[in-house]
Amino acid sequence: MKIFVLGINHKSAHLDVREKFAVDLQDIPDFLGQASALPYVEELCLLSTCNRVEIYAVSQHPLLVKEPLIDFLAQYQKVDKKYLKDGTYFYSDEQAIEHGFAVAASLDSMVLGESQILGQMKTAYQIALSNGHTGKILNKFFHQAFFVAKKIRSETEIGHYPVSISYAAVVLAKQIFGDLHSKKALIIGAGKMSKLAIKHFNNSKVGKLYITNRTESRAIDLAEKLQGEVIPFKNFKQWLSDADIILTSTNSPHYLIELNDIQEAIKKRKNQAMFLIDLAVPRDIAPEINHVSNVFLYDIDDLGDVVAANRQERSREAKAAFKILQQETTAFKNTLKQFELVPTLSSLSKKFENICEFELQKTLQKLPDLNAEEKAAIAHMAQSIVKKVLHDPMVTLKEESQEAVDYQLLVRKLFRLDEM
Amino acid sequence: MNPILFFTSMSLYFTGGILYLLQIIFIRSQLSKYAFRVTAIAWLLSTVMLGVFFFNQGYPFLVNESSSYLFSTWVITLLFLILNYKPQLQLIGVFVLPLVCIFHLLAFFSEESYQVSLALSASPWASIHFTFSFLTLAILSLSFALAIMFIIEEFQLKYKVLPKIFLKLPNLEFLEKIHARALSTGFILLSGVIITGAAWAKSVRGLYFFDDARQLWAVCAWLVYALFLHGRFAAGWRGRRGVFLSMIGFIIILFTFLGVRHNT
Repeated sequence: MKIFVLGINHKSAHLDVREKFAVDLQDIPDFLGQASALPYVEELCLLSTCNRVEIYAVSQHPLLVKEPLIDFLAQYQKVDKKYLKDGTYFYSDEQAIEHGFAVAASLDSMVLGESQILGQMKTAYQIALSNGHTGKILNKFFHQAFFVAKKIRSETEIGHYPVSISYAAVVLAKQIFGDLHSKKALIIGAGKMSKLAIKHFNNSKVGKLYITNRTESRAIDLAEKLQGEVIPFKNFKQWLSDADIILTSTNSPHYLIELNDIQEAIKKRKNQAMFLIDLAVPRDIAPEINHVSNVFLYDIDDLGDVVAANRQERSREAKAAFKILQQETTAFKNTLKQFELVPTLSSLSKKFENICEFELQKTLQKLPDLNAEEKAAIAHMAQSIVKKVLHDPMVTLKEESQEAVDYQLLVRKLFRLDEM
Repeated sequence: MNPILFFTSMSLYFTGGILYLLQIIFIRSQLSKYAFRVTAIAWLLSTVMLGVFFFNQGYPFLVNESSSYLFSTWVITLLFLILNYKPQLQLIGVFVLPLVCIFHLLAFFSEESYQVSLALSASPWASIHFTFSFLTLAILSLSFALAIMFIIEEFQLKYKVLPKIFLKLPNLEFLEKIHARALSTGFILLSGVIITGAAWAKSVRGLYFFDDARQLWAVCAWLVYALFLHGRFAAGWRGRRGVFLSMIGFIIILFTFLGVRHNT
């Protein structure tokens, strides 16, 4: 039994190709049902996200399954197979394990260390599991992959450094204020950037959200969806002193917030810190405001620099993560081999026990005069012989399972275990 | 002072400081764990040294500078070890432990150089005054360390120099709060120092105040701190300016302790 993975991802294939082959979530059970009917496919799971389409499977003969699976995928999505020619990768055994672990730990993601992929992989596994397409090996594999992902997340800092502009803003806010529960944020502008930022602030449980926009209806829309309070755009400046965090992202051609606005606001606030985030181009907040004591102003370039530095930091952390990944891959490969041995070991001992039992009965029938004690002694002797004879080969099998030579196959042939 | 105990604890404090510095550079949580342990052992040794002092000296306590500085290092380290409960505050070790090392060195080298005369130390106010003084020194040193950290973090945020360690620092608001709190405590203790000092002066010289440089400087520092606290709590001088003021106060305090002597 070998585990293998077949797929395309953002590194191997262009978006045009990926979107052709992405399988909708609700179609996955049907896909799995049809694909599992292919010959030699034992276990199956499909992971389909915007960055990757991957089939994790278990088979006795992975190479024999590869082409039929590609054909099936193309046929299922009604796309010409030629698109898959260069873009697909195929890993089996140790490589497949390493790849799967890397995907779960987000080391194969477009944005290193992003946490979404783990959830997507869990969903994919759940679907395969509940439809009965996974077996002992894939179950073990996915549980281990989730464990490795968690381990890498906690032992390295790959997920620590924010790599999106809006999230970086929230992290900076936390570095200034700590807990955001008691803080108020004023969002000026109701565009896409504002929306993203509000989502992040909501996730961090910011105390209160004020939203304002030149076209008030859009602010109302946003406020309804994201639990904020709409304030009139005309006199939003009245709220400046009340807000600990101010985020702007409007199309205004000139500054909306001038130096004296903030100087007044900070005086009213008794000099409590203010964090201003200007995501607009051209800028909404006069840059000289950063010189006001206890006011911290970040524009889109400042945050861009933070994000760029964090990306580098993440790729540095990825090196440490790969070390863990390799250790875990080797360890898992070994457990899998041990695990594969179980049927061989049990049929081997079963065969010997059967022989022992058969011969024992034959002998005892020929010796009717023996009393119960003597019969028990003979039975005990026969069983001990079997145990002792089997001891060395079994230990050797377990020890050598790590080696390249396939002792297992040899033993199965030698003792004709498959003919039982 | 037992030189073996001194050198062992001194090198442990020093190692602790270095480990905290390395933690800032390399960011490995193990380093701060070791640093904490090393510092804790050094503190235990300080406790033993202080015990030996009290055992030998009997009453009055803390009348020579050596034991007093020892007492200060003991208090600072204890407070610092307690603050370690908040992981992000561990890093102030980088600023606290050098101060501890300085006081510890002073404890060792000031043994012979300055001793309050017997006539003066006979007053019951002497020990009380000394306890207050060095407790104050300890608390204010800690708030000074917090102030340095605040200034550094504020600078990083303002000028967008955000190194890797940045996310491990305590948040600015918390740092500012805890600094102000330490300073308020220090201020109350400093008032105690001045009052007990005056009482001591009255008991040995018959005057509350006399022409003494240390008294003058202590009152100076008290005024600076009073200004800071007034500004912080009444006028809302939060942020860099207020913290700078408190740092000036601490420098005056240091000068009072190290630079000037009582007229004896």
